[in-house]
Amino acid sequence: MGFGIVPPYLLARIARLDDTRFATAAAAARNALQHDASMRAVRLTFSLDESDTLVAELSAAPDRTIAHAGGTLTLPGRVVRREGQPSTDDTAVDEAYDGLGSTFALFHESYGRNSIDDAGLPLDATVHYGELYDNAFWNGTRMVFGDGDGEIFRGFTSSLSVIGHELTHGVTQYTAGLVYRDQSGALNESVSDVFGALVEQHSRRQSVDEASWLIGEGVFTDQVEGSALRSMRSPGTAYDDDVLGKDPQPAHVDDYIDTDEDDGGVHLNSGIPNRAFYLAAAALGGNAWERAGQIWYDTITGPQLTARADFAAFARATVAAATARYGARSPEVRAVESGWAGVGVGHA
Amino acid sequence: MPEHEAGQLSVTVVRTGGIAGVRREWAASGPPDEWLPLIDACPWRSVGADLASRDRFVYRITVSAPPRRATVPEGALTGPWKALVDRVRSA
Repeated sequence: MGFGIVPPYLLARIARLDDTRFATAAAAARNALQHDASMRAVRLTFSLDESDTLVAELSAAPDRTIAHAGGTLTLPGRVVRREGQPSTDDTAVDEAYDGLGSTFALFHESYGRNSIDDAGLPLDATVHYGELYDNAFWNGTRMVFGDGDGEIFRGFTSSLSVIGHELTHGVTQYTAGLVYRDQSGALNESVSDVFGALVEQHSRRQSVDEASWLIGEGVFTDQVEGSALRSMRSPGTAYDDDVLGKDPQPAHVDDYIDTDEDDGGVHLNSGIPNRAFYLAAAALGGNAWERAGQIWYDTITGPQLTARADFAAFARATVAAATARYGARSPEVRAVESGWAGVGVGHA
Repeated sequence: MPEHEAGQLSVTVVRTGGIAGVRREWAASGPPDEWLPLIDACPWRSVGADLASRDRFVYRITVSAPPRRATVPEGALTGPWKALVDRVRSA
């Protein structure tokens, strides 16, 4: 038995095969191309059944393209690696490629989601954006990564949670559409942190207790006194540095930061729902992407959440999602309720 | 806003947002006739928006006199806006 990720051009070639030895594979490929136009890349798995008949199975697979901006601010840049192509001698290119694959894997294997739009949307990224550019962002259609300034920040592709964070902005864009301002914006940020952390945990097969719960671990240079951009377990403790100051994230709603900056503090107040997720996951134990992650995924894809939800509305939606999937008297509902209680957000 | 001598104009740039959420601030001051051509070239009344992006920087640009303030998303930081921010940062 073997498997391979089949990009669309190869799928088309398999579909055209006129050789009785590959009739099953050709038929499967034609089926994929004709009956599921949304499945733009597939994983083709071959096996033999009890009667030694070749069985070809198709499942969703990522369709990744990595471009190189060459230190300019021009997007998308020059394509340097497409789906199925071998690794390059450029670390940022390969980290982005692998990170997109890990993110696709979490959403597909855990929640059955086929890419950002659940319809096989290609995953596009640009690396080496700008000169000494200290950021990574989602521009509505692709992920963009700078190389950092070398003094405070290293390159941003080195952190799998950062890659997962950016791609999750795409998932939120296609699902809950949380408005990027004030509390709904902080929730948008938190959802990206939650699934960014889960991408890393799922990839490393780390349980709640084994995981770091850090976002952006390793993006700081050795000159910075800090371990990461944020801590979901202990918001406000990720760094304390002469140049950067202290991590400003609140961990409880009593310390909510009212500000006009940063779209209303979306990267600051996200600490509150981040910790609520951590507390819920810790109460359940095991692998956080399974039950806690499922509840948060059901929440952003479910009917109850509105684009301008505040913390309390989001909390209610998570309790409703947990109730719908696990039952009103389930340990999952109790864990979610205790998570929000731990950060002072009511859900009644 | 930095201390500045009488007759001097000051410009402050506060950058927030980005995936790191780190706040950075830069300021510069000088004779108005050296700064006003660039300041006046900026479209203070019609700042561009960027509703699609996430984790991009947000710039708040403040001028002391005549007092002006704008919040400019990174995606709209082009032309004279970019020239002004670059000048303040390198001052």
